[in-house]
Amino acid sequence: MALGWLLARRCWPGKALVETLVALPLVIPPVATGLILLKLFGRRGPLGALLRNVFGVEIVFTWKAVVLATAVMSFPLLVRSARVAFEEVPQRLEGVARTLGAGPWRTFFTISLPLARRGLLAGGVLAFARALGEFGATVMIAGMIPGETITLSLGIYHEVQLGNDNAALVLLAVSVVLAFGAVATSEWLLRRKTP
Amino acid sequence: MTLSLQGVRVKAGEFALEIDAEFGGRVTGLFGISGSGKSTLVEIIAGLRRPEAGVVTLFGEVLTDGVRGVHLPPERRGIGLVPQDGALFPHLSVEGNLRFAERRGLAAEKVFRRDHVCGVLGIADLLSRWPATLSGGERQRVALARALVSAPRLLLLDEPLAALDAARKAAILPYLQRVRDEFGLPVIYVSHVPQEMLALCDDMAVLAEGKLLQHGPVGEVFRRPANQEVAGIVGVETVVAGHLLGGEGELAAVSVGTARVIGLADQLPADAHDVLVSIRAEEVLLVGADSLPTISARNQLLGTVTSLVSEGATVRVELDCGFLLTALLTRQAVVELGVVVGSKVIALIKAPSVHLIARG
Repeated sequence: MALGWLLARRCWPGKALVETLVALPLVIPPVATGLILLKLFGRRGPLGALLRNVFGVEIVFTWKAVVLATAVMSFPLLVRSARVAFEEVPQRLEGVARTLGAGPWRTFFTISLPLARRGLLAGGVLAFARALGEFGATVMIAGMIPGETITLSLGIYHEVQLGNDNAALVLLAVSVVLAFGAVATSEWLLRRKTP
Repeated sequence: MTLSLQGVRVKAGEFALEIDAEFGGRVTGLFGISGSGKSTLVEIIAGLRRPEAGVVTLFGEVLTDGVRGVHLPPERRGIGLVPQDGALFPHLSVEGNLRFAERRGLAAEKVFRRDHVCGVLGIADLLSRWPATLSGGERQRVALARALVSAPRLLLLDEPLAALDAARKAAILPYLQRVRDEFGLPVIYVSHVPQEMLALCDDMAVLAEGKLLQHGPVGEVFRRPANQEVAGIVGVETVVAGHLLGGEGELAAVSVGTARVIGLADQLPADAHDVLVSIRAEEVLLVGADSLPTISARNQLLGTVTSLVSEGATVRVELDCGFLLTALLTRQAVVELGVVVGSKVIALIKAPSVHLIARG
């Protein structure tokens, strides 16, 4: 969200580079992104080795890898919608808020954030859906270890591979319920408090 | 001086703004067509834009100093801004909008308390409404109230009537006049409408292409534009204060100086008393004092020519006919009439050309 705001409202050196980096996971095939993460965070990867030696944290093929993969994959969607949402807040309103005695922080929390609410929520739902459906990057970096790194999407694939169509259908139902719940919640949040 | 701008410079692409000005009057009009740099200047005064160079001070306090790198953020300037469409916060009720601006802790002067402000602007009944449900005029009154409850030191009104139709404008002008009189705040009033300048402002500054062309009392600027450029923007007009004597249908008689003129009264509120009389210089005809034919013009004023100023193809003739009246004549007409300083002439003005503006 903070990055979305920075991209929407400020000019800073390296902005274009950050914009490109953030958008990369959208255009690179998910499996390729997974491979990049695997190389970075693997035992012999630069970041993986650092984390293991300094914090004793193991990423690859654990649940942490699932979190990492889904986060990286859904991050661009979140940032992009946050950026669009903040860009749609009229700058004049923020300016007037400042002249009325509100500092930058108060202006952000009482004007920009509430007015960008719809876009932020929509972005959140989109990112959630992306995370739920994420397959390629997860399977690369987290593998498919039953009881450890099985996500919903991986689970459905896994059960179908094993011929357990019924189990797959149950997972399908769960994903439908989750998605439905997320969309309904965001709709409800949007309606609330809107004049 | 209330507000002073010294060597303030901004450059944005083709457009360049360069201003040196001291604003001291109670209400100063900032007059200019769109693209003249009015909005940029407003942003600089409010602190929403940093000029590349120059010093801005308010009551002697430095707000911006380009050389020393001083830039007081807008929230610490105490300048209440009312933009064109009011810029009310759409996600807050009217009351929420006012609360947002209220200074807490600060022992705000009584005049700026919410109850009082709402009373003056007649918006006490609107507090629970949402901005989207307000009419244009109501929105502007709320925006004005919001700026006032922030207890500003200066009120900056950026074309507050531009988005309204004529009827709403006429309805809201008295509120602006009340605000001017009630709160004792210096006001900078930005507009491109001469009538608003006349109805509200004491002084006016004429801005064009980023430069200040003329700055002086409103009547003076309209009557004696500094050059042809100013004359082209504001027009040449006689503007004098008058007393309403009485009406007859759509016509009203007004005493001006020692003279009496007839004008159209359809734009005046019923309880008007003091008015401004404005007469465009092009609409004044002059005839020799010895020839008084029977004609339809309602106003026939005998006067003495006090000055003649050449302006390109036209001559600006000033005459004393109980008040100072400006007429714009072609050079040829001046020669044929034999008008010189001291000549006696009769000025003819049709009643519809005498514009009466209520001035509270």
